[in-house]
Amino acid sequence: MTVMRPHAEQLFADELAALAAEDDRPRPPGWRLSPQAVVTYLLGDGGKITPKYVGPRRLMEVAVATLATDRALLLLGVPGTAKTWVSEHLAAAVSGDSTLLVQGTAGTAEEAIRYGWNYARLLAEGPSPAALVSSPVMRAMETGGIARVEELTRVPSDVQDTLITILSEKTLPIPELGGEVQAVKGFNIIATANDRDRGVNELSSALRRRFNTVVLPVPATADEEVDIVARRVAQLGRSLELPEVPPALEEIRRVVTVFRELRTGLTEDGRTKLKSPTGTLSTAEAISVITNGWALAAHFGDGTLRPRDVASGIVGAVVKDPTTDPVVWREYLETVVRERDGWSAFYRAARDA
Amino acid sequence: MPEHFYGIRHHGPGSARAVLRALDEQRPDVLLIEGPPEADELVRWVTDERLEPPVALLGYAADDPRQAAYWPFAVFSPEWQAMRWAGAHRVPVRFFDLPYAYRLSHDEEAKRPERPADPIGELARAAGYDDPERWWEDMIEHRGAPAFEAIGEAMAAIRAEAEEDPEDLVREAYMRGVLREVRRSHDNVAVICGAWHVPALTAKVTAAHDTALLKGRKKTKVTFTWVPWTYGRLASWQGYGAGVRSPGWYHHLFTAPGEVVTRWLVAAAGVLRDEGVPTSSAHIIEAVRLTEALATLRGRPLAGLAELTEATRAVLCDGDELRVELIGRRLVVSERLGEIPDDMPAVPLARDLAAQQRSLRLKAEALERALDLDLRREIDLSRSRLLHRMRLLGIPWGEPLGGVGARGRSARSGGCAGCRSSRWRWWRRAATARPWPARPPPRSPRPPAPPRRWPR
Repeated sequence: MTVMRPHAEQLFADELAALAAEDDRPRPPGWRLSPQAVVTYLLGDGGKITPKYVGPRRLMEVAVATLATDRALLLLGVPGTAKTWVSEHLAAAVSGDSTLLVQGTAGTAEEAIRYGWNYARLLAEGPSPAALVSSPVMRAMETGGIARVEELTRVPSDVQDTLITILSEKTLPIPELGGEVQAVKGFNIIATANDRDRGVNELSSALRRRFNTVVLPVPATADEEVDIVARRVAQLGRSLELPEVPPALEEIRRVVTVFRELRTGLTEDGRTKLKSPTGTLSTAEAISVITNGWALAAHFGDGTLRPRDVASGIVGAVVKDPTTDPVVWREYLETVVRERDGWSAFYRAARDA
Repeated sequence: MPEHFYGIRHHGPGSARAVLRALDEQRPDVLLIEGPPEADELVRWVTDERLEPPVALLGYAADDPRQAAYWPFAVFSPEWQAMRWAGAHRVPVRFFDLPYAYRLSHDEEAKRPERPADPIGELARAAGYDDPERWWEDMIEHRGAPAFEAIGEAMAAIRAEAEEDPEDLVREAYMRGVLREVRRSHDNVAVICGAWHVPALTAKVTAAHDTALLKGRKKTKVTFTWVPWTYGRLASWQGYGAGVRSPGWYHHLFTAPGEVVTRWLVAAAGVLRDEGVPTSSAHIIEAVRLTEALATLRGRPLAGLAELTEATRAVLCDGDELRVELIGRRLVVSERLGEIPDDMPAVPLARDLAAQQRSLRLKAEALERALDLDLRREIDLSRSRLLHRMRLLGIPWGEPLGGVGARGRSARSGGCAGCRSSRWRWWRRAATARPWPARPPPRSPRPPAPPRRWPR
């Protein structure tokens, strides 16, 4: 029984080891690699180290410099711009452990961020360090690792504010025991937040000030997006152990084009304006559409990725709201897809989907 | 006879500082500066405190002001600083470039090879810096290398590989002619020109060769004057100063007494506070730390504008591009406007405009402002008339925002009869409100843009 999705530090263990072996630059206290090596790990070096993030180099440099100066990092962006991905890889490269994770939801309570109690022991023996259940953040502070907080803006504001003392004084007071936990050098927090959703609790300005913000953008050009999608699809296909299917760059490009045009509301040649659907049509969704299509082609098709394999995936990604999106999709289909050369097979498949 | 060639980076504060130090050491008898010789008698104004940079030399054909060109100077331009030094030490200054009179009549539209507009910038980029001024500071000022000899050698090496621009060759021929003339009367000569030209000026070329190149050029009558300029125009200039996309930053580099990074971030925080965004000293501290960390990460001894912008974006602006653009406008480019003395000789139209501006108290500035004019008042009526006249001439100095009538109806254009007031969005631009269109300076390696049609 093997694991579906190994952690970054397990999957890329050899890359990290190779970087650590050749790295002779100074390392900040508690770091496994030097900051320059972490940037190389993230961006790739064109050889053995594969790129984890494809985008402007300066964003990764700011992120790593932030962590190196003991400031907390906040990654912002619309869904699907690799915030969680980058956060995981940053934690893996810097501290070798990306599992100290707090998933922020609307129901996240203080215990998830500070500490909880083993109630049986608490009632039996009274408050004692043994009755304490530490949270990932507390464990990170004790060991000097990187804690990750996902979806910080979904967490209720009062729970968010527990991070303020942790970030400014680097201590976690435990009033019940009359003591505290002080962070060991190398501790830091990487938070991700979504600025597009409803039900978002804005960070208070006191908390916001403790973070350095990096906004991860949507891929700037179609070529960049195709590169990202192709790379990730290949990785996912290998890990899902899908049968070999020749890489269909044309299908990938088609999906990316459809998503970009609907996302920006303008066709690629800039001539026709389009309505945008309610969904975000991010790169991550494009990756899952292609992977889906690959699975369909391998198991139910003839082993080659064809337009009909991706058509239903695309329709599923575009039409999220059953009242308005079908109209948008149909308009796009009839005005743009139908007129395009070489897209007739896709048009027919999409019509039937 | 001692002769020193100072190859500068146009509008480079590092070059300006180096030139001043070198002039103090050399104490020349005469200073030759790259510029149009017809402007020689305007040099005396440089020591006048009322002439405040950024300003530009405006040269135009005497009988057709539509044909004109500008030579801008900022406080951090090496040529400007050299002229001020010469004025303070009573050293004569001569502009020794090819006269503008010869360049006007010459057909400039012919295809010319691209030579690097910013050769020192190219050197910096080759060294892995994206900010040429910080490269200069690191290389020359901090490591104390003998700047100008090294630059001269580097330029010789680059020019050996590059294509020659025929216009450059003609100009350099003229410059060498002036050099020969000056050598006969003066001993200790200092030459300040773009670094690109240094190898050509130090080369051994015969006088006959140079006169042959200069044959056949017609002369046009030209007039020169000083006009105010803005940093915004300097930033978007396509001429030889290309590469000055951040005049505000260069101004800071030249004028800041120390702690360049900290002072810049304090100014950035000030811009945000003016707009009502609370920015505390703690923000500035963290921004400074991030700037230094980024510079270390990128292997640069000195943090440049790129690192400062990244730190501003991540710490002060919370990743918000809008705020970064605001800081870019106000600080990196900055809206500085130069000033000229009232008794500067100017084109009659410009003088009349200046007189009207004064009498109506419509001062020229480089900012945008909304102006409410009540047409029942004599002065506001005159102001409205002036702004309308400017619009008729094709100079959008003010733009009507529409007025609100006395009975509450809004007018489409300000100044309709019966309306109490008219609203104008009024750009207080002075230098840009030139009553004639002009071409970029002929020094540009790219062909200049065609002049705007003058409406008749």
